[in-house]
Amino acid sequence: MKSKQATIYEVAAAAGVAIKTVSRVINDETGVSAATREKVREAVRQLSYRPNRDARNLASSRSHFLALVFDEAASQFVIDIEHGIASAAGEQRHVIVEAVTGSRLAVVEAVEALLTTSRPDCLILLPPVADNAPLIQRLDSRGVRYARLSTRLLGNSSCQVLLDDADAAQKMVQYLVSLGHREIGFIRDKEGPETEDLRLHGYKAGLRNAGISFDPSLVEHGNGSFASGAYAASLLSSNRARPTAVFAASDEMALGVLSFAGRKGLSIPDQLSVCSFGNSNLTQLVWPPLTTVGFSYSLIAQTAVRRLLTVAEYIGDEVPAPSRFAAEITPGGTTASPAPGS
Amino acid sequence: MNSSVTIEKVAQISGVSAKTVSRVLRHKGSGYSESTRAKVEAVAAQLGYSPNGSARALASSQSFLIALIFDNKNAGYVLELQLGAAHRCRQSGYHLVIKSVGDGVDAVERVRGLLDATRLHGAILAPPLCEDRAVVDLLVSRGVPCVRIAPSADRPSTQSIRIDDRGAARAATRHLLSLGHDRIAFIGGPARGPAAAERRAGFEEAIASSSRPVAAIIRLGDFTFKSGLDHGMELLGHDEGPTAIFAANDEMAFGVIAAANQVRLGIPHDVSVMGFDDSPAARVVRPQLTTVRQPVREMADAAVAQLLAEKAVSPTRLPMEPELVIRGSTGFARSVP
Repeated sequence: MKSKQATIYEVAAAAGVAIKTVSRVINDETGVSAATREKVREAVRQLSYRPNRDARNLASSRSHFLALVFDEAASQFVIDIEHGIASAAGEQRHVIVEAVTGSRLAVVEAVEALLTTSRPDCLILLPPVADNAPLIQRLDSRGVRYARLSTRLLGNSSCQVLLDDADAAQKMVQYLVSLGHREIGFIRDKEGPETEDLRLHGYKAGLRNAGISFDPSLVEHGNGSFASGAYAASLLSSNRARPTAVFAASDEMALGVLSFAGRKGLSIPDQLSVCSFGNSNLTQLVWPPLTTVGFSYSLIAQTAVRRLLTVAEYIGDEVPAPSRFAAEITPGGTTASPAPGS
Repeated sequence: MNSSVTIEKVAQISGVSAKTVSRVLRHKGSGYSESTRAKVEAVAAQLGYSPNGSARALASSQSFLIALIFDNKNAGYVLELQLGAAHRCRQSGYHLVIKSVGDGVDAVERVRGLLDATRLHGAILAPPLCEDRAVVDLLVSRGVPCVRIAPSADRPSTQSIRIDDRGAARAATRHLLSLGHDRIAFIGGPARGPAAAERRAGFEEAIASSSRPVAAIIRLGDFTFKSGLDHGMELLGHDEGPTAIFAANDEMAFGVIAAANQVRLGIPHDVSVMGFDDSPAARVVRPQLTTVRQPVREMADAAVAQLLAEKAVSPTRLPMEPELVIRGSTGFARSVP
């Protein structure tokens, strides 16, 4: 076994500075005072710290590593993303996964450590890491190449992949309307201002396009969880508008709605149509499978990686437009035309 | 030292396997004759080969990389492994490289590609890939410390992390017996997986030691929702069906629940369903799934810890016991008041 060697965390602790500072000194960046620079160099010497230069292919300055950064609370769609990355990056490039947690600044620190220690060629950031403004700012100032998967634009990256949540929700409403539904309940997936809830926007736009007036009493608040979906369903069921369909903004909440319906003896989809925003594996774990709208993450990741690798050889000031991804509906057995007279 | 000389070259000229070369040059134990030892050493000296040469050439730097190599199709399981391993890596200033080798075809070549391009501090092999001799031998011959997750048996020069699958399956089956079930079906996993065999053995042991006569029905699935659904439909589609079904993983148990819903049997009133894993979805299906909590994240965390330990951890089995998690999908057999 090799003897234990110093890590960047130990260097930072010994020098009494942030990881970011260690990283700046090692990469000869500006913005560090001469005194601090010397303190860090002393700690590096004392601890015999050596960043992982052998991770690079020695014949070139490229490391041939892509790093995928996501939140520890991420769900299984990460695995789909990894498949997409692997198929686009090929056998010559390898993937580091960094599952982060904690405050936004803790995430910045973790990514700094990753960049300094393993020197990936580029990063692929999944939400909510992709929406971490201090991180994006730091990557831009360091000139790190990265791809973002998010519902909105942020930072200077030339590789932005936009997931159009509003369009997805609108499509689902359009689908329900095409089945004959007009009273459609909606369960929001998180707290926060309505103006930032893209799925709610999409729901409203879908109604507007169908000439159905928006009824605020048909919108309930959930928090993404199963229990909140079941509770919201109970509130909607006592609504005087009597919704014939419920659209939940997360898969788990939709399963909660199904559970509520089961307890009340409501037959699905004859007496109530239920559908979700998500398209996770959960939708396939019930019978009949849940009608859902969501993104093809494997395909999205492939596109992101191809763009990242193209941009690597890209010279010039022109920034390519973001790639926009539309969601697709996967019809299951939980939606149908409303029963006549209901 | 000539760095272009590989262990394979030494092995080829010596007429022995790369693994033997590795063992001889690292002065590891026995398993080769005196004449083999002499020949390998002579060839290595002549070619100027020294084990772990690339690592020595780069002795001025160090590797902060640990690889997780897998061919497992269960996305939930693989994600848990990644989260456990990445967590411990981050805490220790290391980073996790993942390598999916698909369905095992060309697994050796793909792992070789990873080894050629990187220098690893160590590697973790997930099941069922951990059973692949060629992959294990390659890692050993390259001098990459290796921890195997849930292997069927220990292998020299590697470490392993295991849980007591058999004991857990026994406990789960006893739970069903204690509820009065006497027609119990077991839907096992594919024959290739060591964990599947252990879980089946645990089920059979519990049935055999029951004080009253119990009819046991065995079916083989492939750990997918679909196979649980298909076997569930077949088992529950007639009046003489089992009163309890123990599926060797959660995905198949979800399939059984779906089958029960289709044939309009209530859970647990008409049939009890038991899983194995305690995946996140176990709390989201209705009724919630009674299952065995497999500490997958902790196992991956412990695997990284073993690789980072100064010395090999002994014993190689960590005392991580799976735990029976009783929820709403199991209940008394119908005949019991």
